[in-house]
Amino acid sequence: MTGRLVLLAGLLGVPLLLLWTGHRLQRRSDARRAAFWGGLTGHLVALPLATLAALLPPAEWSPDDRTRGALGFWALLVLPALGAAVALLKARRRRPARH
Amino acid sequence: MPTGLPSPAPRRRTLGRAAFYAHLWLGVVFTGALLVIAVTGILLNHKRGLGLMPEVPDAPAPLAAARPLDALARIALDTVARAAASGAGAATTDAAAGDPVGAVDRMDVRPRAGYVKVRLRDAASTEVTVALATGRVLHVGPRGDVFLEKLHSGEILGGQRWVLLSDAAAVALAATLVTGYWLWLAPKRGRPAPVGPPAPSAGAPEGVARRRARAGEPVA
Repeated sequence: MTGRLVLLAGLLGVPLLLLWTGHRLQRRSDARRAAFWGGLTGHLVALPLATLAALLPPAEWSPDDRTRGALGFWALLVLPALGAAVALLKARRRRPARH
Repeated sequence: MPTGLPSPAPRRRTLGRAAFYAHLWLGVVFTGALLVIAVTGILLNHKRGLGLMPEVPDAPAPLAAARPLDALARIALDTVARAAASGAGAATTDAAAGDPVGAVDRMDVRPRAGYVKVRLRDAASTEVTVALATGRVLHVGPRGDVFLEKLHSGEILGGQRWVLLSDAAAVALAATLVTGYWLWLAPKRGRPAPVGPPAPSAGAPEGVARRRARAGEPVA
């Protein structure tokens, strides 16, 4: 059940969050802009990975199939979060150099 | 006399705005689901060519000579058990160990082809094709297209309720198409027709000239 909820959150929740974050992006802070682009990149990387993990091999996955579970269920949630976090950290490190 | 209804221009603007946001939000939110549905749909269209569904030779025989269904199911289960024991094939012993009622998902009898396809309830949807009259095993292997069908419909995630996810993606796709057409055509319909003969083609292109005229710039 957890896996399915994570899948739903990654499949539908993350794009919703990205849309909300991306609304009027030019008016947002540098950090929020960076988080948006990082999250979007993570999601775009996760989408083909999750699709391939779901299809290959063409048989039902089992609970022991950790690689497939991680890529198919968790990647859609984890990779955007990771991308946003990395971009946020980079943006924060860049900020003192401007002043 | 005021009617209380907005005039056509603001109403069209509101509709255009709603169409734009529906197009954007539905398109982005359902990208992942539609990607999976599209890929599985293409693979299912070519399931024979991709080897997801086996080609089995016919074994024609009169239907009256067919063996009982129970005997055919047991032949299939024995074959899978032997294959699993010898390490050949992807079938598990779990599916083959049980009685036919528990281990078999369905039996697809083809009287004209002279065989029955016995599909097991395992992860790979292993299928054994058995000749109806002789009981000879014609083919054993996984049916990849069964899994792809379930993934395509969303059923793989846990039953019939998950089909609603696939339905929602289909509705979103239809709505995205309709709003896309609206966004393309509605501005053209609202634009006033040009007055007088068209401008000669020697100057700026027509679109540029129209934009400049609207902005109050010299058109030449």
